[in-house]
Amino acid sequence: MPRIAHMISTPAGYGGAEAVMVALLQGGAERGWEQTVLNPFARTPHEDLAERCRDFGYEAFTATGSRPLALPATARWARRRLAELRPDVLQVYLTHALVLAAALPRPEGEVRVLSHQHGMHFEAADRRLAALVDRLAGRRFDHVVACSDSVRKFLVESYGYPPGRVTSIRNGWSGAPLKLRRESRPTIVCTANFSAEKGHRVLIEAFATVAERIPDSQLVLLGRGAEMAAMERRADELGLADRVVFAGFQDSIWPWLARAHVFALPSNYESLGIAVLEGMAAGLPVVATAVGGVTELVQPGVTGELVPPGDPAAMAAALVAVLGDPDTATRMGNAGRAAAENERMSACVDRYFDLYEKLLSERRAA
Amino acid sequence: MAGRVVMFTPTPTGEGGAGKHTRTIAGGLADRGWEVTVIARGLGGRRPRRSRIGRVDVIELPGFGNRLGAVAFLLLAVPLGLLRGRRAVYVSLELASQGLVAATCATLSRRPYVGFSFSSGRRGEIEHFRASRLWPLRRALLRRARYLVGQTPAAAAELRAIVEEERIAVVPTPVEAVEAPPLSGEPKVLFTGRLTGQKGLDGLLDAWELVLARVPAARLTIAGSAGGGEGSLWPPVEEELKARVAASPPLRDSVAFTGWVADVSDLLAGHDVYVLPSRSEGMSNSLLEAGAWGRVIAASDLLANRAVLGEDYPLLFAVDDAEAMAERLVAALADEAARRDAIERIGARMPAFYADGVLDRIEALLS
Repeated sequence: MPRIAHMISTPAGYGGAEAVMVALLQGGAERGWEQTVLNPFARTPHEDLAERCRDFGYEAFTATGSRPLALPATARWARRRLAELRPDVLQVYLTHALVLAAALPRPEGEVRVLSHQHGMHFEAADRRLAALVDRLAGRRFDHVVACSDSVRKFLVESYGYPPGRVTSIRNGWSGAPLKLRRESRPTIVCTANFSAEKGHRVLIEAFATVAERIPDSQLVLLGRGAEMAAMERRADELGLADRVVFAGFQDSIWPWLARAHVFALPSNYESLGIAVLEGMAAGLPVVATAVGGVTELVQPGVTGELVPPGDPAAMAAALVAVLGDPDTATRMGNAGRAAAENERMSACVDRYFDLYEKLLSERRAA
Repeated sequence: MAGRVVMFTPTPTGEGGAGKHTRTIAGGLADRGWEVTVIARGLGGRRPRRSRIGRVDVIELPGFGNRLGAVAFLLLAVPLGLLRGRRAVYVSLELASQGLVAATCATLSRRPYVGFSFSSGRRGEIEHFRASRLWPLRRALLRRARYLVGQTPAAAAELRAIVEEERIAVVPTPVEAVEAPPLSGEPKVLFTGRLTGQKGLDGLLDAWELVLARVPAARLTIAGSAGGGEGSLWPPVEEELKARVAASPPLRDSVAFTGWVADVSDLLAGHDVYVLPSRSEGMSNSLLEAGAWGRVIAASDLLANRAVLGEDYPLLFAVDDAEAMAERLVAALADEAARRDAIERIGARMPAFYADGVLDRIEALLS
């Protein structure tokens, strides 16, 4: 059976890259692959990730963290472990691991695949040096997986990667959408951490208009982050304190989605927008900004509506239209749920393993 | 605020039934306005740890997986429970050491206690207690309960050994009502759960060889591991199962182990049939989840499984009867009429277990 090593740089926390990796580990176990996880930049044993990976051989290098002076020791550890493991596929996630893997010698026959490259983030934030390192390091891989067609287009057009070496595989969603049990008040829900790129300000300002037009309506915001206090102040300034619910981080989003009438995502930037897929899976019509991968997920007029980013008036108009037409909203919700069913994490895993098989057979043929 | 609850539980975070049970009940009560503190015997940590799961305040005490650890838990948890329990109702989600702590707190502070039995029947809590020299002491403490709660009528009947009928309630394990995708028609069977002798997986492999003879394309996914089973009364079987599958070409080609899976939703979405071949169950969370997902279920003929699936559910099989299990699995995979009938029956049963209704009943016991 093929051997695969997953290398991820995750000091703490559990986000999209970690979720994909754990799903790939389960997919690998089902297929009988030999698997190992290497986390060379862990500052702590990262108990959460270790627990989720406990059946797959999880190894964290915790002595040095990601301090620059410790990089040689980290590189020695990773090189030694890879030499011992001799994987057929090295699957790499996130920036520190990308740079480290690019710097390590590659044994004959090993296929290197990179996921979760953050070049679009770096360009959007004008971090030119980070983008340059990201671009050059990514070139050292046999294949790059983009989490949406938008990211693939960016990697081919802006980074200049050969199109044949970049595949778009959307990250999948996981979970158990609950049967809808809607609030009596028309409810808009948004699940996104409070950072500037998520555009909460636009949604709150749009909701001021919605609140005037639909007197009972409420806006429920799930998530946490640096911008949350500022957004609470903004809601207060607009006289919406009793109409906007700041629900904070929630262990499960599904009960909140089940109580809503429409899902909104006002982001200025998204590589994909898993939150949109979750809203669709819950059976909600989606009103979102036409950015990045979101444009691949929402079919305007079919599963929701897309509006330009940074435009509260357009977002308000779309929300009022959807909330004001329950039949269309139901039709959109049902269409969204059916579309989301094809984007489960299990489908993402199947696509990854199809790619691995193809790359391995090409390598054998060569 | 509806009131205050101090809840003692084996684990708020573990992957087994106890963890899910805790999260559903504690989280559900918190959503309804109860101030909930969960105090748990941690999963092997050596220091107390405080955290929040949603709106629930969680304190995990050190978990030493032996008798000394149980005593240490008692010594730490009682003062902590008293400290957190002003004007509270004490609840335990099992009757073992958690029940003793909750009953002790309730007795010392003259507050109500409601104890939930977590397992019944063979190797269940009551059978285990009665075999112990400490049974009179345990019974005396648990008799302080306002209510003792069984998950099934059979479990409730066992509780008569402790309190009178009037103070016994039946409340099933709650499960969320899921909007599940339709069946795919692929011949795939799923088991989720802990890989211990309790689950009867050796018998499932016996049956699976018979299933393959009749449905050669059938695939079986076994999701779970033996881990996290400190204090389990049943031995781990993970290595034994994997060795057996590896040694048999037909099994090797058709049986997959995923290891422990934190969220089984994708697996349930991708399998039409769920199998539960257990030798003993309280009320299986996994079975309820599979029911909520509208999967075709084949399960061992236990009182607890009948309580979920109904007395006359046609795809039950005798415990450890590989031939009967194989026959039910073949029907679940390949007999369209049997599949439709099973799904209709399960669909009719599940609303009784949906969290909203079950939490109403729990609130009534606490109020």
